[in-house]
Amino acid sequence: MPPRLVAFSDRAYRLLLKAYPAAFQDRFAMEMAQVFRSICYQAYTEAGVGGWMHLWMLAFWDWLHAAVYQWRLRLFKRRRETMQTTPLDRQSGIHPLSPIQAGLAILPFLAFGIATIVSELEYFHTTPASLPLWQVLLIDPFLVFNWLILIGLGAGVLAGFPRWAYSFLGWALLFAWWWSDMGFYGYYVGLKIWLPLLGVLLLTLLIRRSIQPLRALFAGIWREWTLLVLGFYILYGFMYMLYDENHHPYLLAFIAATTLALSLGAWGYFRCRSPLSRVLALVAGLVLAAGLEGINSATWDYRAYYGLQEGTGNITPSWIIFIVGLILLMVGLGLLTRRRLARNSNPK
Amino acid sequence: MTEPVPDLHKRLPLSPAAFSILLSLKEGEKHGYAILREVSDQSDGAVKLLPGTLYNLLKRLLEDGWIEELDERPDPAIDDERRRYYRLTGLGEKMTLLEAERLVGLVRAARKHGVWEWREES
Repeated sequence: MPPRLVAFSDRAYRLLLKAYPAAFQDRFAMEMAQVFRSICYQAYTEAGVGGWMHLWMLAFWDWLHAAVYQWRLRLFKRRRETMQTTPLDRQSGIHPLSPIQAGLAILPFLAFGIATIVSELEYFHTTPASLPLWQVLLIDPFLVFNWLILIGLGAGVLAGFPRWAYSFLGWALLFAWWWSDMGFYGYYVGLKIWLPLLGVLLLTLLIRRSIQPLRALFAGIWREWTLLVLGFYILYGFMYMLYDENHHPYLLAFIAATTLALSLGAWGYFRCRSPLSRVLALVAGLVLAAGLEGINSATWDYRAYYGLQEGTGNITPSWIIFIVGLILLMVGLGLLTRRRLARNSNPK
Repeated sequence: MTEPVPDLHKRLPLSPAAFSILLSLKEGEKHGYAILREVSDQSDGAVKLLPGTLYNLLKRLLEDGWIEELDERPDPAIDDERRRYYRLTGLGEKMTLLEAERLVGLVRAARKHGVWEWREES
């Protein structure tokens, strides 16, 4: 085999190997390059340049398929989650998500914050009601947010419903509930807003030709009750992030800060090891958001803005009791989950 | 605390490529290129693996504990010392046997239903 062909093949294949995830490269790249060099020699010896070119065509597709597969494993870790038990699993029942997966899980929080900020732009308050529906569906920031969430949810179902997908499911359910009774730009959709969500679930289950993701979804909640706490968190986080009817001069800064605070709490939830720490991360996120709202209320007089009479403030005793009760419920669910997992991992 | 015994039957059927790799290691430890050659030879060229698929599967088999890597490196006088050798584990042998039994069962069912007669007729 001509030395130039050898050098070219070797260099080109080593370059392709760089597309694999780093851990895979570290472990197998050298061997793969060696094997490829050997089969190149073999192909050239048996069929000349034509054989060598044919091998390269096959090797290219083989590389593409294998690299995509390894990246999918790296990002979603399906095999590890479904087939292998790690020491951490044995200890707590559920291992923390990787930074990339946790990043994926907090995307809906960040996206909702961005949608809220964009919706405050003057353009969305002056758009005429005569816009065609398709245009509305593509430009309304909250609808765009919903499309993104549905894409994420669909990807989650296709990936067998890993833990990050619960964040997308929570936001998708919340959005459909929120918009069930809302009109936009002169259109009233009502309960039809649930159709895209149901459509995505149905389509992705059909693509997978299995109800395994649904089983994984319910099994996940049964195994880790703190996912219910995440549901509360999404609901209250949404209310804090929305700053509805608020016209504080620094409103956008408040929305951005609240989004970051709540995203941080969600990040902690998905990265913490014990159920109690996870719940405490969510409580911390909510407390931060409540603090920001407190600063907002203290620095902007909404009664004067709307010409309302003086009366009692926003913070009433019943509101305080409700919030304390909610936090106790969240922590209680965390403690119960911890106790249950500890009992399961140490059967008598 | 005892480890739960995995239900090996749940992992069946194996892909032809994975089964071929396990079979190729039945005779003893081999490095990547030798596995690739053996897989091609034993299937009369029907199964041809390339490095991407081969190492995807080797990684998976290693993770599942069906094969293991040898600690020793080859003598540089005999072979390239950078080569890594793989061999079947006890679990890998069990899986190979289970898959072979599954295939034998299928062939038996095909015979029972007279599929061989079609072969003779054609």
